Amino acid sequence: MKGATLKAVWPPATVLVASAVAVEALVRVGGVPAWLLPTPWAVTQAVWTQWDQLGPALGRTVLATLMGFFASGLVGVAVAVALSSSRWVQRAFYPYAIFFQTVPIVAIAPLLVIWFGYGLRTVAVASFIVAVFPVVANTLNGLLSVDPALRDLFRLYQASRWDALWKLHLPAALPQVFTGLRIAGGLAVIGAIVAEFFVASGGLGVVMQAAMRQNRTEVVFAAIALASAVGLSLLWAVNAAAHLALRHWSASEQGG
Amino acid sequence: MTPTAQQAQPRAQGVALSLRGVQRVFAGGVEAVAPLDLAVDAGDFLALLGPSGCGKSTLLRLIAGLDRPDAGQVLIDGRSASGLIGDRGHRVAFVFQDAHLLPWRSVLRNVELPLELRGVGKSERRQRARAAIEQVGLGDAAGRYPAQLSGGMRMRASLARALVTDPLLLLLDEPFAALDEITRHALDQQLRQLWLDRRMTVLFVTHSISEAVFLAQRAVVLSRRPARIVEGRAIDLPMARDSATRTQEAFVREMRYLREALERGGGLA
Repeated sequence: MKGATLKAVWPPATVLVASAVAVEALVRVGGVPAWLLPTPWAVTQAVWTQWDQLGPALGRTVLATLMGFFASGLVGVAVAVALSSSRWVQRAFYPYAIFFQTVPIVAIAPLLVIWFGYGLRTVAVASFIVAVFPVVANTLNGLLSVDPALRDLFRLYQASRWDALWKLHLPAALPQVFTGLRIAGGLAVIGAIVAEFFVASGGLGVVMQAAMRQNRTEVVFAAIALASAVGLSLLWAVNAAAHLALRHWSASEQGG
Repeated sequence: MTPTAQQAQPRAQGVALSLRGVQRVFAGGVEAVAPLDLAVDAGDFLALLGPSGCGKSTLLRLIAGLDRPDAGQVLIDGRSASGLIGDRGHRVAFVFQDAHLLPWRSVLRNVELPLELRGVGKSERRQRARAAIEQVGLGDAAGRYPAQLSGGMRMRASLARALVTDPLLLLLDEPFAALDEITRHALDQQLRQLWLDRRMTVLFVTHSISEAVFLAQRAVVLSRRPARIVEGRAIDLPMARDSATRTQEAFVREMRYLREALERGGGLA
């Protein structure tokens, strides 16, 4: 397990360090002005020196993202279960579920501000709206592709709808639920940051805008780095949960 | 079976089955099962032998009540099969072509499933599941997960899941077709023994002539699609059968007979 983790961490870490060093050298040698492209070192320093500002902002963004993410997980799975309950329901409602994917969050953010005010609530709702569709689509796909022989088996043994849902359909759809959650994690961060631009009550999005106006490009980069760290951590957490939940499914996952 | 022969053997635990003019036509007009009559005595072991894709799996699904005939009736113990499926006392078990275990459950919990769905209490179902697992020779694998088992072991687990409800009618749809020959022979032998011990009614669908001869008391040969009955034959072999049975003259004679019947039904074309 330890060896496997190291194997997974080393290659990207090497790429990160190597590219940081390369950019650092290019910027210094080429004399690129700091407001155009700060050196990676300057960005790293900004994370520390501006922590008074970045730390609380990070906290707010994380909170809104987690609220949006968990809501998208719960609501997404519940909606998928409802949609899978009958063909008619699916035909009637699925087009409206697609709405959540196609509507640009930038376009409806002002509406959300009107409805939910200038605060955390709006940011969390925007994060949820952006993240929920992949959970619905993937979970629905999983629920509909349950092995027909197993459906027959549950019918033959007179399983109730409730038992069929909890003991067959939901567990069978778990791999697809996790696929949806992986996508939702990244999107939830995007939704939160975009909403913060509009709400302007705090968070990494607000720091980015303020730093941009002050030409403090290294702070913009520092905020971007922290935002992607939030997305990556969420992805890592989903992967860890998937690994744990699906550990018995295939021989290759043994010993995890 | 004559009354005297019946008395000499353990009392039949199975149910009688009868099909009257059963027909199934799929959407698009493909006739899977031609109007067909079939009667199976309680406690009989019947092999349904036919070429691949002849509609024998469809026939088995109709008997299980998982599909409805377009014409005719399937009667289990004199009652309609499609009406029985919602009945709690309905003891029909089905073994599929592949094991179809739940990958997130251990062998023990997979075998418990039918009892769990019927609301049997935890300690009773655990005990019955363990007994069924022992019976198929999987005793030391009860705690393992399907991904950790070989194909033969998975099929044994699937068989245990079918046996755990003490079925009166056991339906098997080419259950060992995907296994290697050595494993298949071992499982044939075990199934035959289970039947001798329990005497439930068994319907075994196969496209293997030797498997039909080895397992069954009676073989029904089906034609190419749409399935109709070409021949019904009582297999003239002793009750107790083992690997030596497969090389006996009588075994070879029965195989030849069934092969000829298959040819007549166009199954070997």
